[in-house]
Amino acid sequence: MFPSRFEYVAPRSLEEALSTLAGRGDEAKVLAGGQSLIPLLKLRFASPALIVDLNRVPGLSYLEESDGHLRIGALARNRDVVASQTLEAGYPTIAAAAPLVSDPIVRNLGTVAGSLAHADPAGDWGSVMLALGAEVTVRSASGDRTIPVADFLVDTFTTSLEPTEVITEIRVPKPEGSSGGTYLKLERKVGDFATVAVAVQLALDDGRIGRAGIALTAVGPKNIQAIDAERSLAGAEPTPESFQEAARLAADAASPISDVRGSADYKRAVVRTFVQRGLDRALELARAS
Amino acid sequence: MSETFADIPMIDARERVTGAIPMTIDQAMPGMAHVKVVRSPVPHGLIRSIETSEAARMPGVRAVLTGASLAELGVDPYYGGLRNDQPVLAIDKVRHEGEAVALVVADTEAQAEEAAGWIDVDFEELPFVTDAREAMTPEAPPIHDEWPDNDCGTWRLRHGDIETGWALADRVYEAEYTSPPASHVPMEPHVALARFEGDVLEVWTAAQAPYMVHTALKKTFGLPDERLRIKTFNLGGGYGAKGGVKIEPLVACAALAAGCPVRLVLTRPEVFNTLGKHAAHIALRTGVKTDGTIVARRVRAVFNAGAYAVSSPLGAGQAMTRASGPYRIPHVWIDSTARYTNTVPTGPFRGAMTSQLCWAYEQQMDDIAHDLGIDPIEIRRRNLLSDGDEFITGEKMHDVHFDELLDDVTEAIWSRGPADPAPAGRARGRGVAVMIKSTLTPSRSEARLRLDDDGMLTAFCATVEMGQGAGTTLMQMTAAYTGVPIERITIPLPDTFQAPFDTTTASSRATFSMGAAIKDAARKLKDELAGLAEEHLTTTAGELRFEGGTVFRAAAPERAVSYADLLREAELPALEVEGVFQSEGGMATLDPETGQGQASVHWHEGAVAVEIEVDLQTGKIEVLNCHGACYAGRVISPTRVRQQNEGNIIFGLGQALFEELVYDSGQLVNPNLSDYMIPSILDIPKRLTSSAVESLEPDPDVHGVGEMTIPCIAPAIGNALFAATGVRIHDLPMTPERVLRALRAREEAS
Ligand SMILES: Cc1cc2nc3c(=O)[nH]c(=O)nc-3n(C[C@H](O)[C@H](O)[C@H](O)COP(=O)(O)OP(=O)(O)OC[C@H]3O[C@@H](n4cnc5c(N)ncnc54)[C@H](O)[C@@H]3O)c2cc1C
Repeated sequence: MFPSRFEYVAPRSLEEALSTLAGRGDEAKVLAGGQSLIPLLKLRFASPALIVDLNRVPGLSYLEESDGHLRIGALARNRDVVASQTLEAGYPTIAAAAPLVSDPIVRNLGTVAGSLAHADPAGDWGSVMLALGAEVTVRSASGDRTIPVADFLVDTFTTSLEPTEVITEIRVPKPEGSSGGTYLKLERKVGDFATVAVAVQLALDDGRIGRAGIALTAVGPKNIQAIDAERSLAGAEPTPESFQEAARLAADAASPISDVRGSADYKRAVVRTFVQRGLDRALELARAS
Repeated sequence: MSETFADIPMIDARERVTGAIPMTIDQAMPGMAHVKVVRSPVPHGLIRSIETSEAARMPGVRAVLTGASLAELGVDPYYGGLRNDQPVLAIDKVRHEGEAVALVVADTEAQAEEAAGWIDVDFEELPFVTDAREAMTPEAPPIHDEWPDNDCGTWRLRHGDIETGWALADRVYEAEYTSPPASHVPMEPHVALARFEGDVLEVWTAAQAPYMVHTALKKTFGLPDERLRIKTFNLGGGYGAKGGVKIEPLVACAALAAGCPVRLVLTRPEVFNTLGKHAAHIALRTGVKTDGTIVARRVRAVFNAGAYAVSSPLGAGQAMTRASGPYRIPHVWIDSTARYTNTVPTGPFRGAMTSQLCWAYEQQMDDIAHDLGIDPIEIRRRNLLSDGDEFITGEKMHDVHFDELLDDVTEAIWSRGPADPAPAGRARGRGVAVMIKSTLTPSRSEARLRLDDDGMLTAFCATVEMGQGAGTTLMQMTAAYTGVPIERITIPLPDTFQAPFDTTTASSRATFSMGAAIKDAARKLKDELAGLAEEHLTTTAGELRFEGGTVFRAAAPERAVSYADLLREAELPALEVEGVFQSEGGMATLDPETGQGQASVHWHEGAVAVEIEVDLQTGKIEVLNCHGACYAGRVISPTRVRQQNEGNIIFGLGQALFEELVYDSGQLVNPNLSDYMIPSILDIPKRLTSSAVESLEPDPDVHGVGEMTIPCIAPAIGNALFAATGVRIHDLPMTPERVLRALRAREEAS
């Protein structure tokens, strides 16, 4: 199908983009990689009157570490995350997830920020950022605010972003001490959205588990933080039993639906397997770090 | 005499990759308008009324057509190669969701789409049926009044005496296997342009069989040959999806109604709604001796034809001849039927009417081997057909190389010693499968060669290049057969005003049949050249040679004279010759009661072996190693044979592991490429290799290679899964969920 008619602007600065949105945010959509928005326009699931293309705004493509955070600029592409050599050691969960997001063609354009803003429950970055306890920095003409990803992702395709705001940056706190993590994804084939995926992040504190982050992809109305599973681990010994219990609690937190990718029962079973495997792997990495 | 064929890369490989080759989708006719189709949202229903007046008033609209208004155009509104059962636009009734009900022609595509949205169709819904076995029952809704029991082609084969066979058997094995509907997913959608130029109807279309389109449109419009011109360009993939007649009658009717040239490109969901693969249910009963010799086999095959016949009435018969596999079996009983249902029509699909059966007989073979304690490779060796054996149709087999194929593929996978131990939580296993497939018989190919007095040769033929490389391979053959250097040969795109008749580019027949027609034409050309050359060839010693665009006696190569000189001396601007290939026999000649006769001019042979790894906690299968082999008779281009063998395997991996068209309440729920996926370059097994077996005879038949490994890939994986885990999957695709459920069920049982 053809998209409905829309107006198109490509501001050269963030200020210009924000002032446009300040006036017409309600009828506008921001365009980043376009890998989700353009299909929506073509299916006419979205029919904004105005497209504000961010791609000419300078200075948003960075991926860097400073003040104890990994900072991912709004125009950093998935490709950039895959290519980054520095993530493997400090942010293994991100390094594991990036090459599993879609396929090389989509990754060349799609952005991490766009993925969060799109809030697809099958999106990979939402779970990764939940497990890592990341925050999103957003800006409007009237100023900045910082929102934990857990509060940012509200519901299916729904975030707490105001129509006048854009994401400028994602901030991932550097995991402290001995830590490890990973992302496990079951897909029908390379490039598919997840049937089920799981992000796991684990920090060790004197041999016991410190902070644990577990989040689930494609098994509910949004990326799900498995809070009970996380709590069951915090302060516990990293034993097969505690991991099994966490896996069970995570599977309980999932609320998948049956669809062409699999039945609800099956998806829940895979959550359990993946959480357990993810924890094993995270522990291995944490002990090695 | 046996020619040498110089292997060359595809002549236009670079242009293909850069998008510079001419394709139908890039063509425009001056002043053309655009067509959009309105499709049925219901699977089965009567059309109460269609409101078109609002659409007709929309900006840019030139014509609106419905099934009812076709009559006013004076055209024959029905088409279909084997049964004339498919309306250009639904007449009174729709038989599947997505069926074309009306069309709009407008100045732009956007206007046509906008206007199509204003057409209002009122349906009275009817009970529907989507499963072929349900469609056979008395309670099933009749889909075509003239075809009781929704019968879309029923065939029987009786060979030997089945009761004797059961009596001979020490053990009898029974099982059922299913394959779901699937989609070809050619990269290029169906697209056609049409115009009436003077009194000639001209249609440019992305079709595999220009002459089938020609035959169909002759009937639709009642036109003589000279008033109908069909042209095709390079196809962006076919795999059967563009075989026969598809959107061409609709597009030509739109041109007639609008009074101007028109173009229609299907959207991806429309491609899904145009043609699919036959879903199948195969019930197999096999009697064997304890030494593994098969003595009896009964096959009951039910195929889902979808809403219109297309190729199913014949396909069910072809399936029958392929149903018991490449084995020597004295007592065979086969019932094969296709039934109409309220789903997308089904038809040719790479490996057609073979993959569904190979999935059954090759998996059962391993179950039998396992039960009897015989090695799966050994049990095949004991039963595979050899030269001179009687086949289940009663024909004597020739050119049979199954043993070599089996050796080749098992050597490639097993020779590497025992499988490496799998990582924790995973299991590894190996499996093999072998298949037999008939080729389209009877069929005809004609070729016309024109040699100009500048030494350039043009080969006119209606073989369609769809990425398989037929153009280049036929060029190699033309060069070898005529002695004209390849760089002086042109094969123009098919145009029925220039290229003589060819049945179709399908069934892996082009290299074999068109190659034979070109060879025949080349023989005539060389005869004529020899006549012209007589006075130059002063000696009669040594054989006549045609090489480098010259003719000479082997004993006196210094007296070589060029074709161009010969033509100029004789004051001939050009020499033209025609060649023909015609095969006889085929399905229509079989005894209808017993299926005995000559079913195929020769039989296709293929085999695949794989090594897989299974994740025991998710059920996900990964193919680590895969080797396929085909019998090629004579290899013209090693590169393209390899590409076909390996392309087949990649294509078939999708149907083996994840492809399935899903229906819910009569609606196709996944007609798009995010819900229905196909393998990509990143899904290819870590190690994928192939080979081709050639004949040792001096001048063997060239065998097609387009489909020889695809039927084997799913059962080879199924057998590897069984070897790895002891679980057997009977229903395709082997999704992780199916595998995990089978693993869990076995755990619970033990
Ligand atoms: C074939 C295909 C396969 C895919 N597979 C996967 C997959 O496996 N896993 C996965 O996670 N994703 C997948 N995706 C989605 C892909 O990762 C998208 O790139 C991503 O979801 C959106 O990023 P984008 O930059 O393309 O955003 P866009 O499409 O440009 O925008 C998406 C939404 O975010 C908003 N937006 C974008 N940037 C900002 C910003 N800075 N501030 C405020 N709002 C903003 C837009 O207004 C829009 O609503 C796939 C996409 C395709 C086409």
